[in-house]
Amino acid sequence: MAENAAGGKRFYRNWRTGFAAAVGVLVIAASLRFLPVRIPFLAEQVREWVIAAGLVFLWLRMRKRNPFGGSSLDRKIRLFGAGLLGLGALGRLVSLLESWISGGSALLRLLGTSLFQTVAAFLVTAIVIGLFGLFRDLVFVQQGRRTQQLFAAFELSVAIRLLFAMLPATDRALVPASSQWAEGPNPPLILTAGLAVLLGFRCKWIPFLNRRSKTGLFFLGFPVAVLFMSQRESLIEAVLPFSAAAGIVISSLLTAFGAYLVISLVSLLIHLPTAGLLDRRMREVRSFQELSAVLGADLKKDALIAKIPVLACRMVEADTVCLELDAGAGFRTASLHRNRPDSPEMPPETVTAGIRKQVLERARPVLMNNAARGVRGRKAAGPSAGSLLAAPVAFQSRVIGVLYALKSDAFGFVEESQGLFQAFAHQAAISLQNAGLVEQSINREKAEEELRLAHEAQMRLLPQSMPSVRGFDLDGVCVTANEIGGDFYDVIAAGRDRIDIVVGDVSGKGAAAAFIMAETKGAIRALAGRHRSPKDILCELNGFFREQGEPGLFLTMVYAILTPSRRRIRIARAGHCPVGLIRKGGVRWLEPRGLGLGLADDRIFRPGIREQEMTLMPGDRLFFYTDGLVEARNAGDEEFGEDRLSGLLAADPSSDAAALVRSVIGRLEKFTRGVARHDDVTVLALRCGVPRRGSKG
Amino acid sequence: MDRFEIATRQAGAVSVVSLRGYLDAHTAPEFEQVLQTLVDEKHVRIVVNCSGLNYISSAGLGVFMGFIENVRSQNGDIKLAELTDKVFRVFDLLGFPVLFEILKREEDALAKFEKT
Repeated sequence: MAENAAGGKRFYRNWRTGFAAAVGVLVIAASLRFLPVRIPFLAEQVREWVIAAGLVFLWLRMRKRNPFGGSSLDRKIRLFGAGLLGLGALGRLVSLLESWISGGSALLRLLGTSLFQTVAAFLVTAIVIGLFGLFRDLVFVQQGRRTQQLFAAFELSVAIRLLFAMLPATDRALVPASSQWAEGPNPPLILTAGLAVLLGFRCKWIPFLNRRSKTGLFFLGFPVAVLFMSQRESLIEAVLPFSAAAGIVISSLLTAFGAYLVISLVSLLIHLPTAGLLDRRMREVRSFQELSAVLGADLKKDALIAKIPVLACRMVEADTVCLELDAGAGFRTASLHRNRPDSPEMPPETVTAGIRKQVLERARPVLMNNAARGVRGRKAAGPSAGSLLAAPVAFQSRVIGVLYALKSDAFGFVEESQGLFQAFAHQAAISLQNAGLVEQSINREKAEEELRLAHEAQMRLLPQSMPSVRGFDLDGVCVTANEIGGDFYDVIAAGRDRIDIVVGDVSGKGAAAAFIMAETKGAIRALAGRHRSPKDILCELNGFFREQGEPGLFLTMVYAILTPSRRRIRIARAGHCPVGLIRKGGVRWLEPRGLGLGLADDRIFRPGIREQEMTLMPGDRLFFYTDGLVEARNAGDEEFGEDRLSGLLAADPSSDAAALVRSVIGRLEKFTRGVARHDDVTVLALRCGVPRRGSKG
Repeated sequence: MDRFEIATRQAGAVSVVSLRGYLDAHTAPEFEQVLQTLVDEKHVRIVVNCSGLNYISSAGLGVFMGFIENVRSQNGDIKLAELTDKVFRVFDLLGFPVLFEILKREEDALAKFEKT
């Protein structure tokens, strides 16, 4: 063909073409033997060499590219078996045909030898060479370098035999016409046979079969082996007349196949009784991996708890699995799974207590395979367990629970299952731990987020700037705690010549407090324009809180209305800290009566509240605060206290409100250094300005 | 900081709840629980002995407020006794003396209940 002519390289690369060419050469060379002419010795030798070269080529080809290489292990085993069966049948056919031909006419003998035998010989050679690839694959299942070396040694021994046969001087002594063995043992033959036997032990694919395949293979393989071994010699004899070289190659491979077949069958026989157990272990290991993956994927603790017994049931093929978790006050059933309606029920607490104690003490699984007495309670209501397996659900030596598996039958669990069951329980513990951590961190994040929002809300509620008041100066600050304390203040220009000052403290904390602060601020802004007396405003606010609030939640507040032009101030107090009047180096506490907002109905609230009105003198300062200030504690657990505050205010030389606020906060910070703040602190100061001309005079 | 401790005993028909330590937002739920249990069991005549109470926050005060109406609607009462000056100051600022009977000694509070 044009392609063949185009390039030799491509010719050799093409597997099919190479194969076909080799087969062609072999066929021609072998067929020469059956020409009814006598071939000279030299020509005979050349023919043998050509056949040997062809076989070696095919051998190497098969070695490099096995046509069955892509098949599954199961398929390879089946093909190999079928090939051997075919060879056995073919051997039987050949011997039958031979006896029939030898008893027939001269013409039949001539045709028989030249035609039937040719076909038979080619068939045998083709099948054997084809099986070679499968054989090699099976040998190499789960094997390493050793086997490669062994296999190479086997091939080398075959090559040596081939070489011996090729030497003209041997007069083909190594290849007897009748039988390979009849000639007596010769070193290359023994070597080949020995290596073939060694290769026979390379059958690690057997453990990979499940029990059914093993049983099936054994009972099918046995007759195949008998047939194959009995026909082995007739197969060799079918090939030998064509060529000594082919005979040697075929006989070597048949020896190897035979050894492999016999040893595999013995090995199968050995594996049969444990096949069921091994099957179960395989299932367990496989399900363990699957189940661990399923466990690891779930991050919700409740879902995990429900899932664990179901998965454990599947893994150890139990009828009932129960997960007990340490609820702090002892172990309680967290979840239970029963495979069938008649699955055994958990033994009574008196029995499980004993088992649990053992598990906890030993920190490893406890297996009760004949649990008839031990596990069955006397008055067990439902079906009881025949065997029980219990394992600690432990994580870093901390036992958080116990996992029980029950089976109806006695001796239901294999000893080996213990380790796996323990591993599963351990995996469950880790998964539970992880889920717990994730939940915790989610909750913490939620709480932090809530706190952050509450802080933001609180900050937005505080006045961003103070209105400027003619003749007065004002300053306020709110130092927030980690937990929202519920402090707030507001300064409202509520009308011409009117400034409202509000300082309040919500009794709750956190987001709820921030919410109430927001409501209150809105209510105050609405009420400020409608009432002229702080007392009325507080009464209205109280009514609002009685309607809105829940019992136990209240608010303290000081409400002051300043008329700057007249330096008049009216103060009402609803349960809040008193207001300090700093005048001429002394402090007087203004504490008009009044209940906290939300504590009582208007019937009680209104009569209980008083208003205090006074005229401020130039230089007077009013000091508003919340209880966070006087209740702040230092590292020695000492309160800041009202007395300390009084002393501080009396001695304070500040000339304006901002300086006073700074001074008090600075003093507080010094006092509470190294201590976490538990409550908000709000401080607000109002100073009545000193007229210039006044200072002159 | 001191821990918060709470003890309950019966003095005839009156339940005496003794508080010690710090009653703040963290310990208030414990106090709340005790009062809830008493109310659930129809023990609505309650004296709270505050002799060991070092500090009370607004959350602690809120607990009293949360129960008083319920208790009084069942013809009971919560009376406070043996408050330290500091704790009384907090109650007083808030106007509690208007709402609660606050007595010097526990016996006085028990005696008040006997009269009714």
